Amino acid sequence: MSVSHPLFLPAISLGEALEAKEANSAAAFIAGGTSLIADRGAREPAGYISLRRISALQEIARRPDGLFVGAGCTIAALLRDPLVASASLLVQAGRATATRQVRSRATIGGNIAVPLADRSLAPCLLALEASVHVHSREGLRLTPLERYLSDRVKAAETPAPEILVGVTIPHTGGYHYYSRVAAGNGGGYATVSVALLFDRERHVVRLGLGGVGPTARRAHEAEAFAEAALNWKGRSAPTSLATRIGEIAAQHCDPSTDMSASSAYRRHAVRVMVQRALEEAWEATR
Amino acid sequence: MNRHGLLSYDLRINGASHDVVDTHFSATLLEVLRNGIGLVGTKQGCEDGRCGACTVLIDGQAVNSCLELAAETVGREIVTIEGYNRPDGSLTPLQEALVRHAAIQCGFCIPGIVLAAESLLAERPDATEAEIRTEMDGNLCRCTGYSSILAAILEVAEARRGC
Repeated sequence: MSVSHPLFLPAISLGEALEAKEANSAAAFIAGGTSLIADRGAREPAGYISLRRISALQEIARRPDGLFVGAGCTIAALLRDPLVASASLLVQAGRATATRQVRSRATIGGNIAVPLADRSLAPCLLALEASVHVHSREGLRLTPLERYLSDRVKAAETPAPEILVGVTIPHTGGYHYYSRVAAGNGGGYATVSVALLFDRERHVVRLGLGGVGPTARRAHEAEAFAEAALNWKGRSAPTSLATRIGEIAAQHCDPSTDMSASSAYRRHAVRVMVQRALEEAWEATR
Repeated sequence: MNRHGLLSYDLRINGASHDVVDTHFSATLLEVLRNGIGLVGTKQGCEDGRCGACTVLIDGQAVNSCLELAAETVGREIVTIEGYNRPDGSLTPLQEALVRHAAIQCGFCIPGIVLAAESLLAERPDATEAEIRTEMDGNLCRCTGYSSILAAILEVAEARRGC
């Protein structure tokens, strides 16, 4: 049993939710609601279209192309699911996200779709080279997360309605490392975060950064330098190399100043955090 | 569509049915509990999910009622501190432990802490001290009585495990 009303519509299918949004563009999709409700004083929508009852958004499954995680899965569900244990980066970031009460409601889709750079999962999913499944009037499309995030930053004021259905994380090995700094290092949103996938067998370095631009971003320049400069077969890596990789990551980001931190602080933090991530990964995989 | 943005629905709270009449569509569960139904044991703190004073159980899960639309909880079983308390006024083992450890100072955070701790112990009866510390991250105590609160929860966990 539930309320069913234009002011609060508990959709049971992607089609129903999309139609409701097309009929009332000022209504907001809501899933966990942990960001939307906290902000409702500033931006109250004209109604809510709840996505919680859409079963297609709740699935976690191993598929041929990787691990699929439905956008409606809560972070608590993510942490409970044995299939997700293989994506250690997600587990590390999920545990570091907000509080137990918020984790029981906040969804992976909301964490990605909120166009802010302080959420925990997007840097990890970038490092894991995830793709997102998006449902719109044109059907279902699969887009690299990196492009999805940059498109959202550039999106028009009232983009055509679409629903994030889930993410696919390619099967991956390697060493996973996540770190963040936040106010008081508490459960609030991350001021800066770094996600690293470090794979000695494939000679791969993937770095996802949060808090150093309008959205989470890959550190492509630092990755390329690291992959070329590291002596993959060697037992030791000079500290100066990790320092240099951190410097390159810091040079090629675009941090802003806000109430949490200055641009200079963020640039400094990302340099140090990338350096430490590399040192940690090298030591752990020696 | 109601031109004033009001909705009416029925909520299951503490085992009883409550009519919620002409309530704004974006009302949170916290607002409905306190202002509509008069269940003021659920406390209004930060209203953005940081303090946990407004914690209630929805289908057994600890949730911030300040971040939950009331309309979203139709058909769910909601338990507030009033529903958790024993009708005869006696204390539950967790409440007794909190008293024994002097874990209550001003008391504002306690309804949320009791419900969060009960749901944690139900979900993870084998929770260690470290896990209790981590999993109680959603409840702030501004009197900073954390050591005694954690000691009380750990004592109950160990008693239930027969330690």
